[in-house]
Amino acid sequence: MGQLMVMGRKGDTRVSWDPANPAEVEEAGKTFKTYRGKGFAAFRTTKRGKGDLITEFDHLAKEILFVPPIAGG
Amino acid sequence: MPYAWSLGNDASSSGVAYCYPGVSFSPTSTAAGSTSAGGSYLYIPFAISSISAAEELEKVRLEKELAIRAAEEMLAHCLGEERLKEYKHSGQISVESPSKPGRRYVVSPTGKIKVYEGEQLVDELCAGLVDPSGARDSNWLPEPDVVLGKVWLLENDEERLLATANHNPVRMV
Repeated sequence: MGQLMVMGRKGDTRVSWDPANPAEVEEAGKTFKTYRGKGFAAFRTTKRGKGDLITEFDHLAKEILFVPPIAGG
Repeated sequence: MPYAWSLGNDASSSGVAYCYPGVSFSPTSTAAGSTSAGGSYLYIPFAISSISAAEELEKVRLEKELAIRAAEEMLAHCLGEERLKEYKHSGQISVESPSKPGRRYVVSPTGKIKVYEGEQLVDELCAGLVDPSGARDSNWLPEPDVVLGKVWLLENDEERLLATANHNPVRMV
């Protein structure tokens, strides 16, 4: 199972998909595009404590974390 | 039942406003008016509606507490044990610059990102993660989320973060 995790003011929101289920993959891909469209940065998590910035949905990823857009303070 | 939509915490709105679709009020010692949806609202100061206001504040506080706890778990999960220890010990996380040897950033939950070259503090970056939900306090995010987001942005998209942030160069005296 893959999981999208979206940072937010009330904690992270999660969306799961089964990489073997085309309908779920498509739905997760749409969610990915929606958040990218809102300016969120997407990171594929790794075991070594680093995130890989991705711009396209990776349906084989185990976890993708969305970080809200950044703005100058 | 009326729909309570506003719980103010700024100087101009210290009460609760109840929305009654399609119902009009006569002006009272509280305040009343029309909504864009054609209904009306009745504004009740905290002195009158103190029980529901306190409940609402408690709900907000609990929501924030849960969000912070979830964000701490996320930070531990994503950054690993070593960096979690660093964060818990010092309240900040160091990030080596991916592009410039000898430069490192120090990220803390609040305040600016400090930029060091060697041991010298050379710049302070002011940048924040914005919740685009449009909520009133839209700049609020759980602190561990802020740290994790900035750390990964620095490690993966340093150039963009540097271009977005406001810089406060530190001058040698």
